[in-house]
Amino acid sequence: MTTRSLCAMEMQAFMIAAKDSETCFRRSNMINNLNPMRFCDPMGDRNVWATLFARDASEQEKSVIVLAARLDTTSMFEGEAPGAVSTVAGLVTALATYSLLSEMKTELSPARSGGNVMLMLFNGEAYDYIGSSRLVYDMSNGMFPPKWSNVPSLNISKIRMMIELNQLSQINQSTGAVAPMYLHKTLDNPDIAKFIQSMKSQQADLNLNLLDSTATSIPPVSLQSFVKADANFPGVAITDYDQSFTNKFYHSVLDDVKLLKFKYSNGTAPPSDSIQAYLANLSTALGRSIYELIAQKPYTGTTKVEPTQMNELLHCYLNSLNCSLFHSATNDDFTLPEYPPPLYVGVSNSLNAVTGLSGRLIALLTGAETNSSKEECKLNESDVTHQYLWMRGKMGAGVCVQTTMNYSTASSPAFDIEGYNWKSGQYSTWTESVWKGFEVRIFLKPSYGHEAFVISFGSVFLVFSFIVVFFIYKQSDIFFEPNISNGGC
Amino acid sequence: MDLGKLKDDQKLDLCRWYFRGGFAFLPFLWAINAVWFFWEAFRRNPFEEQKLIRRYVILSAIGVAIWAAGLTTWIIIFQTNRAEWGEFADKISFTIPQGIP
Repeated sequence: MTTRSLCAMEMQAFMIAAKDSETCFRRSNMINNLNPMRFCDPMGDRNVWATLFARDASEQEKSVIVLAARLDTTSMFEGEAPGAVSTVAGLVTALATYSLLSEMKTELSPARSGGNVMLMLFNGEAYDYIGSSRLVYDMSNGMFPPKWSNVPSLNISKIRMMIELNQLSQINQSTGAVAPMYLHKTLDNPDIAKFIQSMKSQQADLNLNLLDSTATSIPPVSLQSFVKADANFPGVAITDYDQSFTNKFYHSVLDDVKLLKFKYSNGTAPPSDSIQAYLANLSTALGRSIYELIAQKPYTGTTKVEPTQMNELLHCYLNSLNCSLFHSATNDDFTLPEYPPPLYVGVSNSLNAVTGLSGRLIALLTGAETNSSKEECKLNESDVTHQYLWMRGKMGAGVCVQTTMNYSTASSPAFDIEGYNWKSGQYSTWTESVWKGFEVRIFLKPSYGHEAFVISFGSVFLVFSFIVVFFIYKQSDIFFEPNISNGGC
Repeated sequence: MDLGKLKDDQKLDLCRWYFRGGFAFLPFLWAINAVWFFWEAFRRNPFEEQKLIRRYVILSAIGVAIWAAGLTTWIIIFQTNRAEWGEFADKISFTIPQGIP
């Protein structure tokens, strides 16, 4: 029984870029010859944002409450970045809260006195806060939203408070008790105190357990980009951890449905201790607290986020893109695959499906249905502040939805600033190397004896053939007839 | 071109032009000059133009040697230091190798 290897494998995973981002980016933009080479691509995608009420020039300072969450995660495996706890939980809670606020619009509208809510989904946060740092940069240059959109540009001073939803799960749950959620605030001010107090006052009704974080600084959340620009930026991050992550599989391929303990409830209502019910309660509390902040009086209605809606949202982002919500939010131009969306941000010139689908989902849940036909359903010159999207809609018959939802670039300013100092670490400089196709070849390996035999036989035969040719050359007059040219044939 | 078919003064002309041409940053002209006319300059029985041909061949060979030394030095320096020189090296490179710093 031989113990030699029977097979050999050759793998090709050639990466064109080398050294660091500064080098490969410089080389990609250099024109040395007629054959330009691209070595690496900057990473990024798009942020998704929407406002509850259309913004106009009458907007006051400190009037906008930003509801933020991440849209991306990462892992070491290509195409497998589920991000259930790190991303999806916070994302769907933000979507559900925003959707609830949209349902409260009729009560909120007369009482809002200029206040507004902006939903902000940041992309590329896993790679040094690409989306949030880009937004802060754009805001400080008056480029968000872009000037052509006729919407007044937002700057940091107009933000009253940012509420960020980060990792939300029941990992920390002790048996029988409710899993705790921790509130991390950037500073103490009356607004934040009011918000926290409003949240805590709903704990009993909604079966929540909200605690103040004991950490001395805010965790690695998108708020960091804002605090970097303004040390007195008011923000609260809601997470499931206090001083260190409870998520042992952060940014890992194992951060999936099992970790979040999500089981899709098909047809029946989800159980009351499920993650769907838990996040639905949290969204309801959030929606009502934000209402109270804007209207200056508590919410007295009964609208809440139902666990069934949370069930559907989680199913879309964790189980399959071909779910009823995404189906209603798209039209026949889209084919929805059966797998869950991978949430890796990728390179900025290649847009992720999940970004566009999330934007359309926001339009479906909170946009206004119009009577326009499919041909008329596009950007209107007289109303540049809204987007118009054609989708199947809740009824499935096809409808044109008017929405404030839009996208903004989520690509690091480092690649756009002339003469940026790459060593400063001020912005994210993550790039992805350009790679040639990934190939694997398997060979059957012969034994050492076989290889040795082949080469020695070949060498011997070579020498032998030289000898034979030399012999024939020397005796050539015997082998070949002399050439008699007598003009025949 | 077959040297055997040329007259001696034509050979001298050819050798002379190759030698002059090499000054236009064309060391390979000198290399060819030195090799091609070597037999004419040193191995043939003396003839009238041989002295001059011999001089051109020797000077061409010296020229090639200088060029070879210069190019070898520069190539060694560049190849070993290209990665360290960073931006300057990229600016003077025509093609930048892939996959390595």
